[in-house]
Parts: sequence; C-alpha cells; structure tokens
Amino acid sequence: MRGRAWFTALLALALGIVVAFLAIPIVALFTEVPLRRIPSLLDDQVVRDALKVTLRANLVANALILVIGTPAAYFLATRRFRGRALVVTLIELPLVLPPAVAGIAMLAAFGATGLLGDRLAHAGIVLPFTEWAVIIAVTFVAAPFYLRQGIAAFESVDPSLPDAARTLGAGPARVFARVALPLAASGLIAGWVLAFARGIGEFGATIIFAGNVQGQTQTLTLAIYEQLDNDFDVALAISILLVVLSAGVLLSYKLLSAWKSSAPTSPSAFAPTR
Amino acid sequence: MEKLRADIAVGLRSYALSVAFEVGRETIALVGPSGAGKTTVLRAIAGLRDPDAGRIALGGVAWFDSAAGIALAPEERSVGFVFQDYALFPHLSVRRNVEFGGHVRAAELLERFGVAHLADDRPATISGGERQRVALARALARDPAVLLLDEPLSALDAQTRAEVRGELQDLFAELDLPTLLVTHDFRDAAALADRVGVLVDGTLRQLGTPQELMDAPADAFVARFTGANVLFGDAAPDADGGATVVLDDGTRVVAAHAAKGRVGLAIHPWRISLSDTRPADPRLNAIRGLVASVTPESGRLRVRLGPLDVDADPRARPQRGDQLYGVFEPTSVHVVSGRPEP
Repeated sequence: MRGRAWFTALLALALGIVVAFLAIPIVALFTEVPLRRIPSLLDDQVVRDALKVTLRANLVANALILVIGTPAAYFLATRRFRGRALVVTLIELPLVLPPAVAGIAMLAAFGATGLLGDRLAHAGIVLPFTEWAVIIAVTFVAAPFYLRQGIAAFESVDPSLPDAARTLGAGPARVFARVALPLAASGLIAGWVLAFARGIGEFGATIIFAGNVQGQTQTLTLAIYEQLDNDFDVALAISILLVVLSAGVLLSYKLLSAWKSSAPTSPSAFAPTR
Repeated sequence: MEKLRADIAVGLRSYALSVAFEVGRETIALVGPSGAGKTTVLRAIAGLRDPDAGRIALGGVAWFDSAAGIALAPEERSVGFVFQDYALFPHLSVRRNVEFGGHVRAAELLERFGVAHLADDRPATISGGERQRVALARALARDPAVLLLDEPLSALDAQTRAEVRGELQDLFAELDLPTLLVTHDFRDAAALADRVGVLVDGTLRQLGTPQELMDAPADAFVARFTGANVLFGDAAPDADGGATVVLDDGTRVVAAHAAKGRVGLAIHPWRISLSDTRPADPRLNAIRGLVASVTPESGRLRVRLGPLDVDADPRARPQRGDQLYGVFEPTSVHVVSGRPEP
C-alpha cells in the first residue's frame, strides 16, 4: 500500500507542475494590470484599429474557408482517386509548417518578384502588405483545420443514407444539401471553431507577408507585438481580450463535441439489437 | 406493368458474381449464405454499383447496358429500395423521411402503413417494426416500378418478425410490382416469394417456386437450404426402376428414382416419422439412431435422431437417449448430386 501511495504522489506532483506551468502565465496576465483599467486601455485607437482589421480579415477568411472548403472536403471524403493521399497530405502541411515559412512562401508566390507577382501586377493586383495579404495569410494557416475536420465529418456519415437518398430520386447536389451537409454539420462547426481560433491567433505569416501597419494590416496579435515597446499595459489588455476569446472558443468546441457524440448520425447507432 | 430483366456479371473479391433472371408481376427472393452476392445484385439493379458487364432493363428501357455504354444514375431509375437497417434519415421526422421520396402520396402512405401518428417523431425514437413500415412507406412514395428489399426481416425480433412477415405478404399481393428481396432465411423466402433463387458464391444454383426447390432440389446445398437432411452414399439401380443406396455408414436406403454412383439423398424432416420398432413393411426405409435432442417448435417437435432431423408429432413423446427408427417412404427420397457441398 505504501508503494502505491508513493507512486500516486509522484503522478500528482507531475500534474501539479503541468498545471502550474500552464496556468501561472495566464493568471499573471490578469494580475499584472488592474482589471478595472482594462476598458480604458482597450479604448485606444491602436486597439480599435487592430480589432477592426482582425475581425474584417477573419470574417472574409472564414467565409472563404467555409464556402470553398466545404465542397472540397466533401469531394475528398466521398471519392477515391489516384493521388488522393497526396492531396490530403498537402492540405495538412500548413498544420505543421512554421508560420514564418508560410509567410515567406506567400511572398515567394504573390510578392512583386514572386511566382505569380508579375501576372498579378499586370492585372493590377498587389497583395503583399495589404489587408488582402492578412486575409490570405489567415486563410492559409487556418483552412487546414477546417478541411481536416470536414473530411472526417463527411466520412462519418453512414454511406447507406446518401444511397437511400439517391434511390429516392435525389441527384448528387440534393444528396449533399439535404443529407450529407445536415448530418456532418456538427463536425463541420467544430472544425470551423478550430480554424477560427487559429485565424484570430495568426501572427508569423501575417507579419512577414502583410507587415504591421496600424489600421491596414495590424491585427490584435501584431498590435501586442508593437505595444510591447510603447505601452506594456495596452499589450496586456489586448492579451486579456484574446484569452477571453480563446476560452470562449474552446468552451464552445467542447460543448459541440459533447452534443455531437450524443446526436447519432448513423442509423446503426440506434438500430435494433440483432 | 413492365418486367425487370437482369443479366449481370460483377467481379467480387473472392469470386465472380454472375446471375440472370427476370421478375414479372411477382416476388422473387434471393436466398443464400452471407457474402453470396445477394445485396450486390440489389445494388446493381438500383444503380448504386455498376456491374462489370451485362444488362439491366425495365420493359424496353435499359437501365444498364455495358455493350451500349448505358448506366442510368440511381435517381433516374424507378426503384424503391428498403435497406437492411432501413437507412432512415436520422435528422428528419418520419413525415419528412417519407416526403423525401415524394410529397403527393406521403400522407396516404403514412396512413396505409399505420405510422401517421408517428409523423412528427424522429426515427431514433420509434420501434424496429415501425421503422420498417416507415422505410416501406418512403420507398413507395416515389411510385417505383420495381421494389427491392434487403433483408427486410433480419433487424427485427422474433415476434415483430412474424407480424411484419404477414404484413409484407399482404403488401406484395396488393402492390403487384416486380419485387426482389434478399434474405438468408429460406422460411422467410418461402413465405414471402412466389419464386426463390438460391445464390451461392455468385451463382444462381436454382430458381423456382418454394415447392419446386423442396421437391426437386438441384444439389445438396439447395436441399439443405430448404431444410432437408442430406445423406451421402453409393447408388445402384434396382429392378423396380428405383435405386438402392448404401449410405456411408452402411445403412441401406431405397429411393423411388433411378440413380447410379455417388449420390446425395435429400429427405425433409416432415417426411420422416418416428417408430420404436423396425417397420413391418420391407419397402419402407428405416434409419436407426439415438435421440440427441428434442426441441419444441411451433406445435411440433424437432428431434435430432442420429444423422437425421425429424419433425415429429408431440404425441410420440420421444425422449433424449431413446433408440428409435426414423421411417420414410422411398418416394420421400430426392436424389441429388453426390458432390459434397459446403
């Protein structure tokens, strides 16, 4: 018995170190600046501009991710073709790619001297260091989170349900809209929550590809970086704002997952015992 | 009313499925062991899986024709498909499920199948038998020209199963559509279908009325599938135009039909009676054995007597461990190929 207690104490110690290490910085954020000063600190032109840029860029990026990513994920989930594994790997690459590399890669692609820079310039499109660059950077790093989850969500739909819909006269588009999409919805939303969180937190690719210009390309995370030298308290206040936002995102993701696991999407889950 | 004709070949993992048949205003049941390719036939007709070669046509209209390069999409074929687990849409109410196939007859069909009171419920909250009825109503909502059912009874418990079997008999008679169903149970097939096709390893061994399959099984597998005992032995023609067969255990059995060489003998359990003594009539066959088990079954007794299953009158009161004779007429013996089947 003594040996067992000793081992449990060791595990508890490890857990204690983990919790302290992860929690202390978060707690420190809230103790380093008086909480009642936060509203006035956030009422700063820099913060307001950064908030505007962040929300606008993420709104557009998330719209792009949902509108284009959903059918792309459905295609990958429902069709088998040569090179599919390669395509999936390519889609997942930004998940593990250092964001700075993503930023450089986008400069290489869309920069003035980049791969597509000439053609874009001819068409009168300049992307680097504009708000569009922020949108592209956010989309690039956040889309894989949605796509990955989306593929899994569509794959988990019982294949006999789309089959049944086909025999009932529904064409492929109607099957997608009336059967696959509603049944995958909770998984898709969970993926979107993750992508949204990643987009809000985006820093590395944005600062390289879009720069850090207040009111144009400066997002909340970039504003924190700039305020480090100007007004540390403003940096803290923005950080607290983002912690609250992140916690909200995580909480809604957990609630969604719980709801998803309690709402069966396949009839076999409630089929009578055989 | 158009006839459905199918003549298809599909390469499956361990064998090639190759079947040809025609369904008129009747119900055909495809029976066979699991993995025999039964469901693949239904899916091919519905357009959910294209065969490698062949032709599927309703009347003069080809749904699939490999030679002509025709392969209609499932939604372009007029098929009502009842899936094994019913495949009801879990996110839609019973009414919306039925309406998915067509709005016009939805209300009438909900009424016809006695599920109108469940119209606003989700499939997850209704019973197995009710789901089965909703699945039928949904399949018929599109006014299909052909009805396909995959194991319509397998997901149901014993009592619901008997009930639904009766309902399906009435329904098929009322619909008068070419109907093709798949089951692994010969009794379900015999109860529901006008003709039964026995599918083994992708090949139709025999297609005929349940009576034909029982009276003249094409091979030992079909005989066993219809519930017959199959015993193997060596036959020699006798003077009366029949045959004398020496079974592998040495027992002599007389068959009314001529036979020669290695044969299988199919004898149905209800053709055999039990006796304490060897019958006086020398023309009767008698196989002596030990009663290994006695199981009551729908008012009769299913007795395991040596190598035989016997359907016995309960008044005979056989006991486990009794030494009895299983007695049957030479005319009750059907001779099949002696090749032992799996």
